[in-house]
Amino acid sequence: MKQIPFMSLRLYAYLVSLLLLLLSLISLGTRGLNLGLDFTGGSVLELKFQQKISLSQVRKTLEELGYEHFQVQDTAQGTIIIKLRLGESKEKALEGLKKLSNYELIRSESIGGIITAELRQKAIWSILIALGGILLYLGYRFEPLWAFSAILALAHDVLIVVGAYSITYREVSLDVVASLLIVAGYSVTDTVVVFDRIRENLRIRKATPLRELIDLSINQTLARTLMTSLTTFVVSFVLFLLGGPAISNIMFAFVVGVVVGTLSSIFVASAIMLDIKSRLKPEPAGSV
Amino acid sequence: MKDLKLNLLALLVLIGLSVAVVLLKPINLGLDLRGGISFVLQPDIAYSLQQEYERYAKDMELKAREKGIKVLDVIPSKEGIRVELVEEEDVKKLSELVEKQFPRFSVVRSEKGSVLISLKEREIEQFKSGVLTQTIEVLRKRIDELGVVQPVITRIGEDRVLVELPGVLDLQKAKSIVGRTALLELKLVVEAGPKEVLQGKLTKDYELLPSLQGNEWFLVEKLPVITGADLKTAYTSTDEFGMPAVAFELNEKGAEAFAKATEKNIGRRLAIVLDKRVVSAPVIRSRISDRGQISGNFTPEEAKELAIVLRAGALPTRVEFLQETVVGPSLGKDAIEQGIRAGVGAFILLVLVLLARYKTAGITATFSILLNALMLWAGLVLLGGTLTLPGIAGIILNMGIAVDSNVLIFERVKEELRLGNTVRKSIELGYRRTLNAVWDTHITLLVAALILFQFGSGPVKGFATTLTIGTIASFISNVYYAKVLLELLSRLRLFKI
Repeated sequence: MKQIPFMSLRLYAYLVSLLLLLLSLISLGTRGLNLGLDFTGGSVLELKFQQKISLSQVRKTLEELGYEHFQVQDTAQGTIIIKLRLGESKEKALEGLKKLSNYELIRSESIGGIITAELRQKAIWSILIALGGILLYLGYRFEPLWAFSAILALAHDVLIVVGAYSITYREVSLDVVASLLIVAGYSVTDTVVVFDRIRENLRIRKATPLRELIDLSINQTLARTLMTSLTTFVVSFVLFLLGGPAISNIMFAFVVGVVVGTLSSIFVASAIMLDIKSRLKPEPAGSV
Repeated sequence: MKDLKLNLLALLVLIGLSVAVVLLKPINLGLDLRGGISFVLQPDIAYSLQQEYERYAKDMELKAREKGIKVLDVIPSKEGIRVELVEEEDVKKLSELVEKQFPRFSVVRSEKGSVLISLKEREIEQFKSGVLTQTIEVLRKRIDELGVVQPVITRIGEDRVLVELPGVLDLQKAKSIVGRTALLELKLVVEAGPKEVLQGKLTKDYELLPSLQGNEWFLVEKLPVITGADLKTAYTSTDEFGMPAVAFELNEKGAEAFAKATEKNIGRRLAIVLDKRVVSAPVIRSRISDRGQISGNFTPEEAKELAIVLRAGALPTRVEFLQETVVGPSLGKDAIEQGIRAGVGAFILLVLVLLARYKTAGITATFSILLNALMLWAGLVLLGGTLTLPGIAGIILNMGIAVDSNVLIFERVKEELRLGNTVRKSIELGYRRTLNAVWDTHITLLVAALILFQFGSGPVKGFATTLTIGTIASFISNVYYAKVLLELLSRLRLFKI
């Protein structure tokens, strides 16, 4: 089988990664995240009017009712979503909008400040705990340097996925954070499989330089990496397309995460490990 | 050969059991799929603590005076009861009194003759959990009266209550039934009039209450004649003008107290106070013993709600709504339809990919996806888990993830075959050499899924539950049965990869 010299290509891979990271960071810095109700508090109402009602009609009615800060948007399903700020009563809006036309209440949700503050904290903690837990596990399974490289690759994946939410300005709700954690767990397994193979090869081929060994290992596991990514991608992509707005938004993390995670476990994780290792100790052939 | 047969038998039993569970027990649908209302409530514990202190303050003052302690003032607050003494030497006497006669209390601080007495730590804990249990009990009674099918009323976290009302869509009604304290008190009126005038006459034994509309003020005796706790029952009726009203009957103890008080106070006004607001204040015309009526310009609907909450009893304290969600009935139906469509689509594509790449081995992979989905569903039913919208995503996603280990093993088997090994040896080697990696993938996913449980109830928990059960099911279906099935294929001479 033809071998692909992944390690020689790593500079290009770094370039692509840095570009994506930069884009993510810029978007996060300027646009920020479209945080969902779970994290901002307030109310969301989704209504389906029986007659055709325009967004500006809804806006006008709400203004007449005395609301100042609100957002109105329509959906592909023909419903209208109204977001109210924390502390504004939704009952008044629900009552007042009946004047426009009769409507069906699709959903309405209100979250107070105590819960959002808690959820925000929990979301951050859970991401940190997940990263920490994965790091510990990797540290136990592999050398610290390997674990460190895998975590860097993982952080890279997570950051780019979050960046993608910022760039597309999709809503980041609690579900999305949950999905992000699973993406993280999932993306690290790809890297683990490659590392596992490198370790196995280290035992058998003691004379091969690390760089060649990594290339060999990635090539050996390539079919597997691509196949599992493909199967997961297929499933998440179908869900993204057909699953309806709520599921679609959750699955976006997977669609982006699987692609980025696959690239990073092929190009980034081992490459970082190789680079740090050769920086630390210029490597004579055969040593590890 | 014997091993294989045993394994296959065990597999059949496993499938049989799972199918039985799935067929016999329906799955719990989460509120986001069924439609309905959910609330997260927090009882105001500080407020009810203060009330508890107010209840004891008077008694404590009396007992202290009996002991010859010179008390300047007694002020209850949410921290405790502050007793101001005239002479500093009395502090010790007061401490002894508290220790002997009020064993639930202890002296927290004392400086310069000012003593703070509060419930002991353990008692406060008990008090808190008592308030929560009582809140849940009262809510359950009220909701039962509403006739909601399969409601959820449960404690979450340390001091919160989750209420789920499937099928209920009227938010305003649900809120007024669930959120109203419904503390009914009948108090003798001292004087009615403008607020400013009455404020000047306020003493420690009186309190100043507004009317329901807030335009009238009443100075009433603090100590109620009877309260909602003395009620035997309450029901809707009409008053003498034909307006909707709520009639109530008193229990024995309540009737006795009511009779005594009405007899003594003929000609005075009696305020009917609901949640610290005066609903009406009729004049007592004769001795009344065991029944009465509340009227106050109610709509029929309001009267019905009031009767329900009075029958079920008052909440021990006011509650705050931290979160409220209403899901209309169409949202869940659409979501389930879309979920099924997406699931079937994803499955077909997945099978095509697997068959194209792994030929007959792809069949066993397909089988393990199905087995995994079956076990996941059965596990969810057995554990009483709830299927939510993200949970559906979790199940379908799990199909993609479950296949991962199969792919890992198959690719390795292919590799071993290329190296010139026999089929049986390749399967054995491919399986053994990937076991480590399979463990790793499952453990990392499990770690991530378990962390999600800290988000408590609701949709995310559904996601976490399905992923956790799915990961374990995938471990069984892939790690164990992948090998068994591959061996079966090779024995049947059907193995082609």
